[in-house]
Amino acid sequence: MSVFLGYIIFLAAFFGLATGLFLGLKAIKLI
Amino acid sequence: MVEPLLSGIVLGLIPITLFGLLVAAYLQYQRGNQLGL
Repeated sequence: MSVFLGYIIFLAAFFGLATGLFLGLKAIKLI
Repeated sequence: MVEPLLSGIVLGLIPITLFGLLVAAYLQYQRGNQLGL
């Protein structure tokens, strides 16, 4: 149960960072 | 002394890291280094 919770935490962090970097870099026209 | 939350994070990190390395290597193998890294 907690292993899956850790996996969910990892997924949220990973895709949160990916989306944040993508939108942020796009907003300042770096990509 | 197993930390289940940590295990989930680590076990999730390993395959996606290997997958990312594989994709980066394949892109360079196909068309040369266009990543600018």
